[in-house]
Amino acid sequence: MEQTILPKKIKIAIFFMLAIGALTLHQFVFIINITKIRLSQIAYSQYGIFSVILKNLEILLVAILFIVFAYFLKKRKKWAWIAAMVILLKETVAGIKAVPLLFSVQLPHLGYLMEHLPPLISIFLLITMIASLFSYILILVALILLISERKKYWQIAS
Amino acid sequence: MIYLIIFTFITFILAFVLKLLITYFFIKLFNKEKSFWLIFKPILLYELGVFCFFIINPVSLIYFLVPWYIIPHVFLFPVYFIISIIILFLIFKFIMKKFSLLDFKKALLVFFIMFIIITPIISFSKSMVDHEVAKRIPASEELFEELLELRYFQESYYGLDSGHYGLMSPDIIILKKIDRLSEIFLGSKLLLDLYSFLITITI
Repeated sequence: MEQTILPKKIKIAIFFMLAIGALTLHQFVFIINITKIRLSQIAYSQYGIFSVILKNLEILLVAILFIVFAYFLKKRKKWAWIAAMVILLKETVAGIKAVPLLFSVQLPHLGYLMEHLPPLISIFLLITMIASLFSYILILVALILLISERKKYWQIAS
Repeated sequence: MIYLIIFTFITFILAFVLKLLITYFFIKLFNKEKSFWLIFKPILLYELGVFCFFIINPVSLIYFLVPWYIIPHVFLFPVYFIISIIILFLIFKFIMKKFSLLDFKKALLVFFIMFIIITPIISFSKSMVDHEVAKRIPASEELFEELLELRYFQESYYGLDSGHYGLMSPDIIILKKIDRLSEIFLGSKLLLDLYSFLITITI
């Protein structure tokens, strides 16, 4: 049986979810790299990189889930729509919660960090902050697109 | 320490299975003719709904939307608690109605017996067993010291997250992840918060 073509907005949402997955994956790699550099400089690094990977396992998991759900959304699975909604809502709520921390702690320390960190790490830090902001915008847009096209998607999904 | 992690994980699984079986038993009381899978499937679906709810945790946004200087956060807890329970009950009721297992009153009864009596007993027993076993492991003293050190570091450098990675051993991280699962599936987080709230207002 020939499959119905996906609505354009759903296609955009799928693309955005893939982009969010890629950006989150980049964030994971960045955290691992920057902590590896810092651990080599700090005296109390007794457990090494394994702890850092375990601590940030959730970020890696979220990145993989975004890509997997995007794939199954393309395959027209109903459960993938619900799963995508759950993960997008989770990230939206987490983003709202991060706002006070961003303004009270992270932004005031940014200038200090930029001055004292090695130039390469400073650039990476800046890129990651911009990437986080960009991925948050993508999350919101993907969420709105998936909600607005839910009826069309549920008609063609199995 | 690996034995403590395995033991904690096993007690979590056993406590969760026990909770599922007791819920099954209560629903079975009202639906004697229904088969095992017809009752067990909605219970699993409810647990999945609870997992999604706690993963998103939308009610916790009230802490961020209402500034602490207007209403102190401790006084927002009852609102958070009540809204969370109502949403959890609505998920339970919706699933029970969808599978034609319980009407409103019976769903309310089963939900509150599970939430107020059974789950706290299971959760508390699990914590007691874990604690008793942890006391008998010599390395657990080091673990507690490490946890105290970590807490001190987090309080001193709040927000500078990347700093304390070196302090956390893999064992602690895994134990914390199992704790998080217990918070979600055994409802221990809400109950512990309620306990802290009651202590705060009575003192």
